[in-house]
Amino acid sequence: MAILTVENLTHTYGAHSPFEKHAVRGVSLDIQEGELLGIIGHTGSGKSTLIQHLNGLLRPNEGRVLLDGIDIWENPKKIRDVRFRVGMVFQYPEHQLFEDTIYKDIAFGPKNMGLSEEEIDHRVRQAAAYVGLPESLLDKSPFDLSGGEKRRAAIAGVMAMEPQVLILDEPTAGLDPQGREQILTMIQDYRRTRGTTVLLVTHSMEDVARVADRILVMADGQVAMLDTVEAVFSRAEELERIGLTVPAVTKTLLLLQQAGVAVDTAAYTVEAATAQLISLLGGDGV
Amino acid sequence: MDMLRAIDVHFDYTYENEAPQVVLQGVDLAIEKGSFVAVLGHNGCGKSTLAKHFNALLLPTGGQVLVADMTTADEDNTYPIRRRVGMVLQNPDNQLVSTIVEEDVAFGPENLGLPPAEIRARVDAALAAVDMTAYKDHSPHRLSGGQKQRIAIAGVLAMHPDCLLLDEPTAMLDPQGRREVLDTVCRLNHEQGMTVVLITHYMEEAALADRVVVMDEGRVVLDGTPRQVFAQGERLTALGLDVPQPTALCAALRQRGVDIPADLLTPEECAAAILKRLKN
Repeated sequence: MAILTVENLTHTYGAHSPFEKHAVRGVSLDIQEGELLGIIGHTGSGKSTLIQHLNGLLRPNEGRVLLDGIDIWENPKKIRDVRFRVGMVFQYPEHQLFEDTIYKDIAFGPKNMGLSEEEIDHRVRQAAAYVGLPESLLDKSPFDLSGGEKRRAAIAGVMAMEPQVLILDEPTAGLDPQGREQILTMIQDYRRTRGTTVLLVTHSMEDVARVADRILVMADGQVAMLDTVEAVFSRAEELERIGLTVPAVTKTLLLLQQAGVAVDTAAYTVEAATAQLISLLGGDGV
Repeated sequence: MDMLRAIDVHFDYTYENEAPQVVLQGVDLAIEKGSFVAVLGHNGCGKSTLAKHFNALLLPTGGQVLVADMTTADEDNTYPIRRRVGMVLQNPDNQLVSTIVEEDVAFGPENLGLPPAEIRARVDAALAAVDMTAYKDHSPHRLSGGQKQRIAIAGVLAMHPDCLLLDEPTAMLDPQGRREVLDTVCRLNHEQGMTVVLITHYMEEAALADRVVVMDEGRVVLDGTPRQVFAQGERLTALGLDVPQPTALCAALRQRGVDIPADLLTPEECAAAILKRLKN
């Protein structure tokens, strides 16, 4: 079932001014309950504008956004509830930590939801556990944490609101390979435990290939592709035309295909590519 | 000739009433003039701390750092060293000071007290070198991340340094911005013979360098050409680093008994090697 439906969404910045820009044009799509949707597209493709409509940070110029079948702007006074149900983790969320302890920072969202003290406490500890922050860090100041820990604390702050949909904008940007790995594993575990719908905006094809069920490719304010990971990567040439780099493994297979070798370019992991090539190259004594 | 030299460099951060935090424990490294060296290592391995030693932002607590044979320990050398070694940091927004691109680039030369005509010439040349001349009248905050980072590089170039020290200059950029910055850095190295030290987490970027230095726990643990370093996949994984995917693919194929070189870096090389095998 679709948890979020976008119908014919159009958003124009600076309408009727010399800076008029159609950031999103006539976008329609369904996001299924419980799926992990990767969203890619280069800067200016409209992906940030799109996700900001999903929790009512932006209001469509045209079109509608439905959450559980109901237009989120049906009652504009209730838009705050939509923001509790669709949680958004912005880029570099650690820049938004502002309380004097990590505990208070994670508790900020649940507190604003008007939850009881016990419920808040429960949620803070649970969210901290989801992101792998030890309890001993909860009473520390954000200044005492490493960059990676700060980022995880900021993500926990949104998780503690227990949103039905969790949107993460470039959660691995600027991290080293180990930090990236930790964040991606954490997101996968969280989703497995809670069944939350997750939207992951990223520039990294490798990241999206690893964790997503489906990929939404945005280009020039429109949906260029919305399909399974395999189906999207099998269109590697089109992706390159849009200016997106496919994973290096996919690129290797694409080059082989162009040279006339019968390979399936949908493979995007080293393991999958190895399995394909082994049968061709006759390793393992085949 | 060595542009930069670290001789048994030790460094620790010491806070009052706390045990000293050891960051560098005996780094020996010589970086030749005109070379392009990438420095890899997971967070906390000491690579940024080392970089700050190379333009005398930090002084070693043990050992010695030489920049063009001048020791950073002598305070009289500090300014000459900083004029030779320019630094570009991760966040472009933290490095731009002016509201107009060309004024931003002029900030350094102005502080050197150069005559206006010389400043003009340097700014124009620096903007041309990073291919941003068309934006000289623009406001930096309206530029893309990659463009901002190129302006930051131009600001350093206008100081006429011999060496560029870039500390994760592409970490906050999108793929296109990353390409722009990398192309600029490679061009400066190839065409102007600029010594480049690039700290990065991206293995594809490191693969562009002449030499890759891997750090761990405040020491240099691997040092060689990109091919030599990336061929050591297991070692890199143990150090918390990735291997470029094509290299990993070749390693996996080798493990399964396919005779293919271990030191291929790009999809093109990898595909060519596989084709060659198929034809045999």
